[in-house]
This record gives sequence, C-alpha cells and structure tokens, in this order.
Amino acid sequence: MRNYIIRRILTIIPMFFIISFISFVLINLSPSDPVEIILRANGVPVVTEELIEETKIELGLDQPFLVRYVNWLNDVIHLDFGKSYVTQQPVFKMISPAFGYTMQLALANTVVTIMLSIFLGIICAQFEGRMIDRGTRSFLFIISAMPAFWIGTLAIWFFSVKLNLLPTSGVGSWTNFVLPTMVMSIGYCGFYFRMIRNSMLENMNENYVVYARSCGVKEKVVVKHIFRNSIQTAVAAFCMAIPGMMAGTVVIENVFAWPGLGRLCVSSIFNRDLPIIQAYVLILALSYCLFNIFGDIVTAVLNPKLRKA
Amino acid sequence: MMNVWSKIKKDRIAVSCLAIILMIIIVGIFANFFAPNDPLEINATLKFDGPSWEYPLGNDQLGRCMLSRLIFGIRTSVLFVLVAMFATISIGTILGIIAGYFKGKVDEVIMRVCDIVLSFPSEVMTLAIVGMFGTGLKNILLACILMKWAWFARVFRSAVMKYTDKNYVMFSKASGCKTGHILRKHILPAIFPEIAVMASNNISSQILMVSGLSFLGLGVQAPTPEWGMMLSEAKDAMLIHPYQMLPSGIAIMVMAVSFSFLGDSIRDAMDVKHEGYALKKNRFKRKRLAA
Amino acid sequence: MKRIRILICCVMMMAMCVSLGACTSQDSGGTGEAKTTLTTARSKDIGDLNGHLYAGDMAAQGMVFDTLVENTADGPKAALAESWDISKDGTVYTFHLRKGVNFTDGQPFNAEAVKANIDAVQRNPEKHAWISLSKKIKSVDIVDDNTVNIVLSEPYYPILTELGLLRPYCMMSPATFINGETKDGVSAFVGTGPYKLTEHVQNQYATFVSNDEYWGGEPKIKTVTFKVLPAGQTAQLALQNGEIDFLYSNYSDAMLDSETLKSMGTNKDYQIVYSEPCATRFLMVNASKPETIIADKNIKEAIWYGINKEELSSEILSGLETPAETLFPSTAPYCDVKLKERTFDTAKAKKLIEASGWKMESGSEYYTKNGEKLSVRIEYRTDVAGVKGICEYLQSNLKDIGIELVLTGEEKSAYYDRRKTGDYDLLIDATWGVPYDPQSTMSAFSAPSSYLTSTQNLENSQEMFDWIDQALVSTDEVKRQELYTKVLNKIQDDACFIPLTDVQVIAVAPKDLKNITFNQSQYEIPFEKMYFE
Repeated sequence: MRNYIIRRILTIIPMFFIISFISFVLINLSPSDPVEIILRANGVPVVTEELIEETKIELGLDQPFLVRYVNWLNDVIHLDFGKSYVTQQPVFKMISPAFGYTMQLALANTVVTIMLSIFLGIICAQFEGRMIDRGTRSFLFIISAMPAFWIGTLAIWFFSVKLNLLPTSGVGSWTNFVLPTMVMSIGYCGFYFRMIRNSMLENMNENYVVYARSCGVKEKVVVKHIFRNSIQTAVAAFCMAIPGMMAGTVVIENVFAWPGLGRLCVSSIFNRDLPIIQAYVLILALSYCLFNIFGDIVTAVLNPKLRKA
Repeated sequence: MMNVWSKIKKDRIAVSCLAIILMIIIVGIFANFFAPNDPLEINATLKFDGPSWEYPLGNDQLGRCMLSRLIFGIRTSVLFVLVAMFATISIGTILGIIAGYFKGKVDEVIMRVCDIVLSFPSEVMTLAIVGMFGTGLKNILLACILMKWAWFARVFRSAVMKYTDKNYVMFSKASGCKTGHILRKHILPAIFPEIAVMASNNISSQILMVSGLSFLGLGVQAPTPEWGMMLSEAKDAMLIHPYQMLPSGIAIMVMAVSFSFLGDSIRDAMDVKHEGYALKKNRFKRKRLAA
Repeated sequence: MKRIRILICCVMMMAMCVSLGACTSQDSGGTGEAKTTLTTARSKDIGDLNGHLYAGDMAAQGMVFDTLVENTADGPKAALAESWDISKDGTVYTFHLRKGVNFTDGQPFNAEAVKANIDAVQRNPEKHAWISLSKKIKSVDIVDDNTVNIVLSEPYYPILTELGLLRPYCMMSPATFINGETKDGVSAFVGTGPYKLTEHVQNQYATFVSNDEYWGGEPKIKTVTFKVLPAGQTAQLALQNGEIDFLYSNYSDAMLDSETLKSMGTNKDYQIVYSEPCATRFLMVNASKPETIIADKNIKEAIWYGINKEELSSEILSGLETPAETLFPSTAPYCDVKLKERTFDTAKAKKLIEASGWKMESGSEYYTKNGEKLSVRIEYRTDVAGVKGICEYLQSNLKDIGIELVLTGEEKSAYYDRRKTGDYDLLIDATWGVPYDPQSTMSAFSAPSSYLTSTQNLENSQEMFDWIDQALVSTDEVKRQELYTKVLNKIQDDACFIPLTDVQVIAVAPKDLKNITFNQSQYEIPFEKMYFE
C-alpha cells in the first residue's frame, strides 16, 4: 500500500517537467512580440525601436531558448511566475486571489453536486423505471445539454432583476454563490448522478444483496450496503470533479463576473497577457494531475482489490 | 452491429433524435436553399423587429434575419464541429488500432503521449491555445482535435485488444489474412458502436464548448453567423428584447440534447447489462423476493 | 413514451419562466435619506494608478491626482497653480502655486514637490515621447516655496494644455517616490485630489474616500466605489438591481449599448446625461503600401461617400452619436474651419470607383479589375463595445457601392501591431478628443505606431509634418491658425481619415443623483461635484 502511494506520488515529478515544458513552449510559439505587448499595455502611445530593444534586454528575452526555460523553471519553483505584461504586477500576486475564488466556487459546486447526485442517484435507483426516475433523468439530461451561459444569463435576469432576490454578480456574501453554483452544479449533476444510479443498480444484482434480502435484513440496511459499495466507483470521479470544475468555471465566471481564474484568463487572452495564461495552464494542469493521483490513492485505499493491479 | 441498429430503430427517441440531427445537417449544408434571406443583409430600420412573414423569427440588433442567421449558423456551430470530430476520431481510431493491434514499443510510445495529453484538462488547453495563437474558430477546433484524440485512442486501444484475442480474429490471422484486411473487416466493425457512442456524446459537449467560447468572444469573426455569438449579441439587449435570447439558445440545446440522447440510446442498445436488461432482471428478483 | 412527455413539460416550464419574467414589472427602491456613497462599474480593474505612467484607469487617477492647470472649454484654468506668468520670449513659465495644499499623506504641496514630479517624468523620456512638451522642458527651477519656473528650450504654445493633461504631468506626493523616481512604480497612490484610494482588491473593487481638505471644497459624495463588472448586460443588470448607481460609457470603455441606453431614457427612475461631443470615431486608411487598392485616393473618397452616416447614427447607434464630417469637431481649438464635405452619395461613390478603372461585371455583386475583386479589409478591436456592429453596418453600406468589406476583430495588441506595421486596409479608431485635439493628435500623425501609416506617402506628407511642427512652436496666433488650416484641409482632401460619428461620454444614474457634469477630457469624471438628493 505504502509503496503504491509513494510510486504514485513520485510520478508527479516527471509530470511537472512535462507540464511546465509544454506551458513554456506554448508561450514561445505565440506569434505576438511580448515586448510590444508590454509597452502597448502600459499605454505608451508611441513605441520606438530603441525602447523595444531596451525592454527586451531588461526582460532577458535576448537569451537562448533553453536558458530562458531553465531560468523560468527556477523562478516558477520559487513561485515567481514573472510579471504581467499589462499590470506589471507579479503574476503570482494576481493569480493567487483569483485561484482562491475559483477554488471556493469549485468546492461549493463539488459539494452541491456530490450531495445532489448522491441523493438523486439513490432515489432514482430505488424507484428505477418509475416516473420519478425517468423524470429526473430526462430533466437533468436536458439541463446538462443547455449552454451554461444561457441558463446563467436567464437565471440572473429572472432571479436578480425580475424577482430581485439575489445579487446579479460578483462576490461578497453567500448569496453570491447561489446562482453560479446552482447553474453549474445542476449541469454537472447530470453526469455524476447517472454514474451513482447505474452502479447502485449493478450492485443490486450482486449476490450479497440477494443473500441479505433473503436473510430478511431490513431494506434500509441493504440500501446502505449497496450504497457503500457503489460509491467506490464514484469516488475517483468526484476527486476529478474539483479540478474539472476549476477548469470548467470559465464561462460561468464570465457570466457572473466572478473574479476567478477563468475570468482572469479570458481577459488575459484579450490583452495577450501571456505570462498569466502560462501560469493559468501550469496551475490548472498541475492541480489536475495532483487530484488525479489523489483520486487513485483514495480508490486504492477504499478498494484493496485494485492495489495489486 | 446489426443488432444494435435494429434496437435503435425500435427506440422512438433515438430515431427522432437521429432524424433531427440529419435534418439540421441537411438544412445546414443547403443553407443557401433553405434560408429565406441573406444572413448578412442589414436593414437598420428593422432592428429588433418581431417575427413576420418575411422574417419568420424576427430581426436581430442590426435588423438581420434571425432565421437565416440561425440556418447559416448550423455550418459554424454544428458542421465544423462535426468535421473536427471526424478528424479527432480518425486520428484516435488509427492510433488506437495501431497501439492495440501491434502492441509492443509502438503501443508504449503512443500511450505515453496519450498520458501526457490527457494530463492537461482539455478546457484549459483550449483556452491556452486560443490565448497563444489568437482567437478564432479555427484555433478552437484545432485545440479540440489536439486535446481529444488521446481519449479516443485510449478507448479504442482497449477495445481493439479485447477483440484481437477473439477466436475469429485469431482464425483469420492463422489463415493468413492480411493485417489490413483483418483491421478493416473484423476489428473496425466490432469497435464501431463504441466509436458512435463516444463521438455522439463528445459532439454534444463540443458544441456546447465551441458556442461557449464564441459567447465569450473567442470564436468566429463577425459577421459570420454562429449560435454562441448570436446569443452573446442578444444578451446585450436582453432587458428590452428578451425574445432575442431564445432562437439561438434553443437551437444549441436541441442539437446538444439530440446528440446526447442518441449516444445514450446507442449505448443502451449495445450494452445490455447497463439499463434495460439489468433492470428487468432486478425487478424480477425483487418480485420473487417479495413473494 | 414518458421521456417525451417530460421533455415537453420541461420546454413548457422554460417558456413559462421566460414569459413570466417578461411580464413582471420593474420595482424600484426609493430611499428617504440622501446617500453619500456611490458605486460605479468599470469593465477593467483600476490598475496601477501611478500617474506618471499610462497603465491605470484615468477616471480613478483623476479622482486622486490634480494637475497644475485644468483644461476647460474656455482654455486652461487655475488648479494647483493659482496663476502664471509667461516670459516675453515665451520660454519661461512662472507658476504661482496654491498655498496651504497638502497631499493626503500630509506632505505639503510646494515648489519642491512640483520639481520632483516634473523631473521624475522627464527622467523617463522614452515613455513620454508622444507628448511634445516632454522634449521642450529644459529645467524646472524653484523660485521660492510657492513659485516655480518651467524653462523651455523654445516657445511651445500648448504647454498649459499639456500640463493640464492628467498623464503624465499630474502631481503625486514625493514621499511615495521610490529613490526619487516614479518610472518603476510608487509606494502608494497619494495626490491632492478630491478622493483618496483606501482599498483596492484587484479585479473586484476599489474604494475611494473623500479628501475633506480638498482645496476645491469637500466633496458631497463621501465614498466612491469602482466595481469591476463585465460591460454590457452584467453592468446593466447591476444598475437595474441597484447594486451600482452610476454608469458611464466612453469610447474606450463602453459599458452600455445604445439600445439599453435608449430604453433607460424612457424609464422615469433613471436619467441619462450626455457630455458635449468629445471625440470622433473614424476609419484610418492605410497609405503605407502604395500598391494596395486602398492607397487609391478615389477608393478612399468612394468609401467616404458610400457610408450612410445619418442612418448609422440614427438607427445603429440609436441617435446617441452624431454624424461627423471632419476628423476634429469644429469646437476643438483652431478647428473651426470650412472643409470639403462629402455627404452620402452612392452614385458619386460608384463614379469614383469606375474612374479608377474598376468594372461591374453583370451578375456580380462587387467591382472587379483584371480579375481582382474590389475587396478591402477592416480590423476592429474586440474589447471596444459597439464597434463590431458599426463594422457590420459599414460592410452592408459598402456592398451597396460594390466594395467588399472583410471584417476581422482582434485583441488590442494585435490591432496596434497592425496600426504600426501598416498591415491593414482600414482600422476603426477614435481620436483622443479634446484637450488632446488637435495638437497632440496631430503630432502623432508623424509618429510611427500612431498615425504615420495613414499619413505617409501622401503628396507632400513631409511638408504637412513640418507645418504641424511649426504650428506647435509658433508664437503668432494668426500664423498658427493658418498652418492648422492647411493641415486640416490636407487631411480632409486626401481622405486619409474617414470620420464617422462624434462620440460623447454618456452617464446613466438614478434620478436622485444630481449635478452630473463632465470634464473636458472624455477619460475623467468629476465625482466630487455630484450629490444625492
């Protein structure tokens, strides 16, 4: 067990190098000249050639590719992602609060999604094939096929403007979480709830259930056992939900003016603020990777059968 | 495979989804023929007009025909995504089959590359590629292909592995059939339903993603009609003309729902254990227990 | 099948939600007491407010910092300098500073502070090359505590106007300088202005609290909050929901679209206040590549004739912008000059195109010459609201005269790259507006990366640049006017800038917010003058 965990954790190291290298290569493939972007972003109305040369040396952009990569990697390890082209502030300082907000939203979403999908999964598995099961499935199916920005905008319009119940956008109190979380988690729920429902149904046919039932074990207890066994497959998926949602909040953040990573990234795309995009890719890919490993370990702990494989 | 098809034929939802999809694709291909007006023609005086005989779905913020824009939008919002998906599937299938059939070193290399690609969340990489190379539908679709092929390759690899050990494949091999023949005649048909399920589910998420990015302004160039961008244009006037939000929103929804329903139905038809059969068996058991 | 029934139910439910929403009436909260806080929204963070650089939000900088003189419609007026004398040869300006003014960190505002500020700006010449004054200042000399001399290398008449521009010559507390410099940032944003920055959470909000010792009188609005909200519907909804109570739009940060503004104008709870026209939207025409279609003067003129500015203004822009015939409004200094007019005339436009040898093949929509289609590109900035719609409209206009217009929306930096390298046919842009017009805008005509790609290769381009240079240093009012008239005629006749509409600053607020006024510059908003009733 311990070996497995250590082995799994050690895979982070090569992954880190690959991820960082790809993030670095991407920025260097970009067709726009970083120096020009920087000068332009600072509102210098007239950019002269001397100014460009000067800035280039100042930023160390005149050095060869590999040297720049190693320097950059060294900085990244020390949590220095460079300076934003546009605001001239350290990228880390800009990304960290945004990361916090995105994390909050992703966590809120994950919690709501997990609770909702477990609840609906159990209900639907119990009443499998009946109206409530079919209804819930169809409803969630359609909701998850609706563009989130569309529901989001309609929801703002209805709940905030027409009913004036909730704030339209931004962060602040818990009420700000309601709309984005509702819109997002209901979409994700469609996927997770079906997973739980299906694995519950599969477990219902297992011998231990038949045996328990025939022994006259109470239905409540039987369901509990079924649930415990069927949740295992969902756990790994839930571990991936957090990074998945962090990456998936982009549109929602823009609709609800949530000051998170997605919004920062989109505005950086418009401003060609490459260091921020780079840091965004690096951070999300890394957390994706970490949660993936975390998910594997949790699954292994829960299910000893898988450990040997 | 025939079995799957005959089951789908019986599923009314699947058939109607398929019909909707085909209809929309045909309308999109022959948009010139179906659209009542020029989608780019501006009639400033008809700005935000409601439906009329000449403009069945009304006019947008520049007085253009909404229906015509919707119809021409099929090309950018659906057809291009389908083309990209086709490219993704082709790459994924070819690499998956190579890896699964030939195994060994080739397999190892392809799978490691897959691992690397899969370690990046696809939404993030799409944004990254758009961020580095500039906005535009071309870059979004390119990003989709780059990020999604690995999923297909991996799934098809294991599907192929499952079938290479089947007796009839072994038999063909032993009887001296050419590799290409085996792949074409035995392996590809066997994994086809799996391709269909994955493609169909992926298309609906892809349509949503492309329209989402267009909504954020990262997609097509104006004035090319595209559903996501039409929505984003409509939302600016949402308070005064809420109706403008409906046509393109519903179009995206119908498309995404149809594709996911279809994918689901194919899965149901393929995989007896999952829903239909298992449920019946289970119900039978429960009844027996109750009795 | 049940799934179908559910499907129908869902669709119906949605339709109900939508129609319910459309029907419910608007409710507005009217509070009894006069508010002293105001919240506004910008689409971008206020950024680095350092007034000696160019990254920050100018409206926010204007709240915190003051300049020596203030630009008004009647010319430069006293601000931090109460009065000034000009030496006979026009090279020494003596400023008598306002007494008893302190920066909000307690530092006194005096001659030393002025010298420290101007010197710090002068030590970063590359960044300020666009403003000619930066090349003309020879030294800043302290006469006494409240008197300072600015010595110029040669007479330069726009000095007062350019000192009145917020950037770069605004006055920041020298205590915040880092090693006496501002070019690498300052330790805090402290000025003498009506407000001080008290809290700033990046990409969320910035709070400004009134400076009760403000020399211009204590502001009635005690707290101003800048919230970062996406332009368009989010900002509108927040305004309607009462989360923000002031919104303003200018060319570079259009928060509201014209249709919404129009509808808010009919709503009795809101007021819309318009400034004077303060900038001009125009098409920059590329002249740097003589071999291209667009370098042909006939085509430039044809495009000018082919644009229906009346309809553009009244329908597409809902009457919020007025048609413009010249690059600078006649209200700008030295610009009240009769220039050649080109009103909408498709027949004339076609005649001009045909005069250049283009032919309309039967059955085709566009002119062709030697098999080449008469096709012109236009690039617009995706971060400026509204320009996309204008470009789409122009496309349909030009189609009517047989010119194909191809649209490309781009990010700010890609757009500016094109402007600099001349890789474009048409660009949609706007002038900086008064007080930059005409002198600063004109000096940018000869600046690569500003307007040079539109003004070079014309007949006598160099001569025109000389006229501009002469006008800037001329001490003779009549001579200056003469030179400016020549330049204005030249650019109008050559059609290197095709004016579209005059842009205003538009503010929307609940009815009870009073005294909403505008500064001369489209980028600043005088919050200190507003109050709630």
